[in-house]
Amino acid sequence: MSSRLPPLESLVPPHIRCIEPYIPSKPDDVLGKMFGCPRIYRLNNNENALGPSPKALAALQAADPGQASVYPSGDAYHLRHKLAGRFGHPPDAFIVGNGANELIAFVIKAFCQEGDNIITADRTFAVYEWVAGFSGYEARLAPLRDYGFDDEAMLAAVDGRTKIIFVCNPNNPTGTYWDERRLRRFLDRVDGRQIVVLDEAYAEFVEAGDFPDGMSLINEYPNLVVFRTFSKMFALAALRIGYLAGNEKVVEVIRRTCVVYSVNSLAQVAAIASLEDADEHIARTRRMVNEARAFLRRELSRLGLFHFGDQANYMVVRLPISDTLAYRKLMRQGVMVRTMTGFRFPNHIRVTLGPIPVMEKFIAALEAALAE
Amino acid sequence: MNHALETELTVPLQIELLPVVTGCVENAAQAFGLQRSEALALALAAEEVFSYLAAKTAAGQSLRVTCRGGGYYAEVVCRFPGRALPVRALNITAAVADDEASLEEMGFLLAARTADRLAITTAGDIMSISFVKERAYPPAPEEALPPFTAKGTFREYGGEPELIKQFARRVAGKYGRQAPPFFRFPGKVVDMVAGGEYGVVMLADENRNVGGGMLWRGDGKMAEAYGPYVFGGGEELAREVVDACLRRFARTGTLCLVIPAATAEAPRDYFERLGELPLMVDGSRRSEQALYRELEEDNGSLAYVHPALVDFVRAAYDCLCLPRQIEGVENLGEARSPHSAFAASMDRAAGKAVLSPLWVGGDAAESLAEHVEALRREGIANILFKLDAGVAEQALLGPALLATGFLPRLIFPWEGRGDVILFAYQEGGA
Repeated sequence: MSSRLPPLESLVPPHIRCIEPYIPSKPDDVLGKMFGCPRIYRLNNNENALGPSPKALAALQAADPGQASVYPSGDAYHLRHKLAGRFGHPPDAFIVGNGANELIAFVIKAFCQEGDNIITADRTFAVYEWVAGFSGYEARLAPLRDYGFDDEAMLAAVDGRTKIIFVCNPNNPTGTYWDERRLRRFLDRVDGRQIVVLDEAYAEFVEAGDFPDGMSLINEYPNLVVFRTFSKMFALAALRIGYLAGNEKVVEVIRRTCVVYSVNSLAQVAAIASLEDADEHIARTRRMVNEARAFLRRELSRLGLFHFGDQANYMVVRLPISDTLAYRKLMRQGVMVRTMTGFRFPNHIRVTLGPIPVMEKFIAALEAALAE
Repeated sequence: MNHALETELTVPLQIELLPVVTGCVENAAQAFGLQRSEALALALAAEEVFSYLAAKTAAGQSLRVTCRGGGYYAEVVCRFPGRALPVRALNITAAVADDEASLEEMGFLLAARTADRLAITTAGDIMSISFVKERAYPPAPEEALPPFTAKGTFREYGGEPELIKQFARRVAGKYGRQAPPFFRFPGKVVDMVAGGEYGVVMLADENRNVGGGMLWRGDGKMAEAYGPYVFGGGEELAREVVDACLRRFARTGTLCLVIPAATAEAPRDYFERLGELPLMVDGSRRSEQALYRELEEDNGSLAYVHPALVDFVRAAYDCLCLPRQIEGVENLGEARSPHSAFAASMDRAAGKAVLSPLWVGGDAAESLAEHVEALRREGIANILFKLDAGVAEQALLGPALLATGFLPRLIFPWEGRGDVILFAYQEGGA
């Protein structure tokens, strides 16, 4: 047996050599020991503090552990039919993935080849840029304008090798959104030449009347692919399940790059159940988020801290200290937030909106951190 | 990202093949931009390594020689199995005795002194020794640039050579000795950036007049930055420069940024203070303020620390709110290598030398004392030592450093395999 390390310099392609691996945060028990705090309130990942809906919980509890030996439905057959019924598109217009991250990879793999590029914003969800980068394609980043996606700058970045344009609506982390008129105008100008991915991971949180429903635009714009997730509003983040929808012919191309069986049976069962009591769950969650937003706005204004984020279940706060120092100071008090330097917003933090007692803990911890 | 050019050769360790190695190194170094005399210095280093190993190692072994051109330097890396090198000979204090073994090591002594930088690393059963020789550059033209006055709005620039040269000249003109010496050689700064080892961000006005900027070096977890330098516009421009710099690091995997000698313009709300390093410059005392900025969420690491240093390290971590698990390391009589070796990098103009361990052995205290003595004889007033708390073996140097008169001053998080503790030599110790 040879114990020699393989020749990594020659085996690893250049576009992988220049990429650093993403290191996720350590588990709570390890972090608790490191920071000396017995309990951690996770306000960093925009999880829904209410947890899964009652029907999803019941479905999970009723699941037969003995079925762990059986492969899941490889293409989430029942869930796709359920989604078809809810949104009025055929089941084959949907692909279910192991979280929306997997779907991003499917779409990029389906349409890009060497020399192609994708376009998105500089300060948005990082995974579009990452997947393009480690797949060897250029990610063109249009700077945000007034905290929102800049349609003109994105269109100006398009060239003959642009294959996909990613629009996060509402945007993570700024919480801004394109209304229906602006989205339609953008789609009209793209005129079907590129795939436009509308990432609606946080769409269920938005109550604004002019917020577009991407699902209903698919018939008019066959180049539109809509992403949704069960991780945020439906609180199934640990099960890793999301889906995309689009024109059947476009989706058939994306399906060629899919890894089948990547979505486990429990996730499929819980997702189906989530859709059954979705309206009640969404209403309860929105109430919690709205209360938290009102509370935080008041408290952050009292502290004189600039903040933004009117949609979705998070807000961004500008601090008078480094965000990464604030992270450590807050962690010592058991409160975990998301630093924004990596989102190209130095000295900002993003905080998930949750129940009032937790928001009170966050404000108290923040005040103490800033007073030190 | 480093865009270094590279060529590689694997040669059986047979002395008749020596010209193949030296020819390759000399030619590659010249192709990478070194003058012939500089290229010959690298070839000599490779020759000494090859000759020594050819005489000492068993038949059938090979040497892998990698020549790398990094723009402003050329490097030769020799990789071979085992740990056959006489590391003691790599110390700047090494002297050659009149016995056969020492004469064999003399070549190494010469090789170590012909290089601008050298490093020894081990990975499993493979040992690597690297020699770096830098290119010589002309200094900046003597006439000063016209004073900076901003016109219109600022735009962000990265690696444009003409702007870099203007930036370097303005830095050298305004900040003088407070800035690193390479700013006095604008062409060198261009090559440093073009080689990919250094990064730069500059803000220039409508007339392409550079109003400010930052430069950094960093392929690892920590980037070392210089600045922010601003030539007009004051605090607000400095803030914009830092913002632009931090945006360039987003999603790169670099964990933190340290400015070892921050300028007065560095916005305090963006950085944490690591502390001050007292230095003697041109016969007078001066302090360098080191600032720190994490770029990602720090979720902890392990630090190997000798009990004699635990109080200092714990207090520093507490002050920075850094989550660290401290593990005590001390020698309890177990066998150790008899000899130590230390690398020394020197900036004679600044009167500064930084020592770091290449090899930790039983003679550490004596060897450190010899280094201090040798450096002081050379007129070096500021003698620093960098200890990597991520390497358990280095923690054993704690008592030797304290006994020699080195005092712990600062911690640079994530600079090495773990955090790096910076010591400064102080006559008479604590």
